[in-house]
Amino acid sequence: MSTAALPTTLSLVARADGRPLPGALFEVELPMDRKNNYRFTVGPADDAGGLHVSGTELRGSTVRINDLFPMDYVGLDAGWTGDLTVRAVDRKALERLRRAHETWGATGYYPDGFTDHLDALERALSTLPGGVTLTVVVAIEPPESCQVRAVSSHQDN
Amino acid sequence: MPAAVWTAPLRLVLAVAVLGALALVSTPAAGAASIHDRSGAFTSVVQLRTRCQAARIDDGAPTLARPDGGARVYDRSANVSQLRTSPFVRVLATEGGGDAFYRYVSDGEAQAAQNGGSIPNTDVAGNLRSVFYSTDRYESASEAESALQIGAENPAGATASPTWRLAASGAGADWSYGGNVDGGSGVELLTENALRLLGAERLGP
Repeated sequence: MSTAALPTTLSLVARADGRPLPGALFEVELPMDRKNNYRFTVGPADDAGGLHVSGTELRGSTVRINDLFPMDYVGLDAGWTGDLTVRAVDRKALERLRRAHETWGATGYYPDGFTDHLDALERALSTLPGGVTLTVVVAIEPPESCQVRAVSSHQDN
Repeated sequence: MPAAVWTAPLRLVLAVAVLGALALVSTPAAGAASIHDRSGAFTSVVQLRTRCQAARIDDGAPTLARPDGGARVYDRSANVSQLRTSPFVRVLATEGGGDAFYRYVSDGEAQAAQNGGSIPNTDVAGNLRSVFYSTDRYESASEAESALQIGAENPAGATASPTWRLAASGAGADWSYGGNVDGGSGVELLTENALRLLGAERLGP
């Protein structure tokens, strides 16, 4: 098991070909040694494409996932690798989120207005020219708390 | 030399011949040999191997699939001789119950499964998720929690207790064997397939 800790603050900025992407959503992945990795969405970003997420919020998401699927996740403290991966939600991920919401929406997992956020992001992505790359700038506090990786995505995906 | 002495080797040869003949007569054709498990049920070796291969259990090379498809060995009990007494085989060998796999879930998942008629295989972000099942039917949340080390018994910290037991058909699913539960008494299998829901029952505490 890793000795890494969740950051107290995860700061994210989404950009589309270098320009801020207001209303961006971010998919966070916390890889696990056992059972499933935690994968969930945070956001939306503000008008500058920025979002601050506390470690408490990150942990809270994993706890709610555990509560929803008691057999499928072992808990963050039982096998988190210490890595944290973030990517901006592109069109393909947005479609997945819509289907996920259709399946799990009634469980109370998603925040109020979640589908509004999806709609807003879809509108924002539709205004981008083809071939735009979505990137994420990530900063964590404390800086050495865990290994962070930002993955670029493609708005056409 | 007394007759009993000189006939002893002959009798031995005859006994071996008779046993050999009996073995030939009683050795079933491939696919018909049977083994017994602790419950007294039986299945054929070929049936068992087929089912174990479906679960990616290879009795020739006891390396089990990881949930993520990697090669880490979870459990080395996956050879046929040991499987004869494993709970896994006990269930597989039980006629009529061989295809039922159980899952201990939240209200939310029970509702989603009942709405769709199958047990969803995606996570809250819409990605494929490994869905864990047990071969054992537990009657209460506490029994399931203790055996599977989940919910209130999760060693990493208590989470919500399961409130429903779902039964699903495992027919045609691509299974991985998760092994024996650390600290518990259960066995877990996992699949990324969405299994057909056979039934949902609310668990007692």
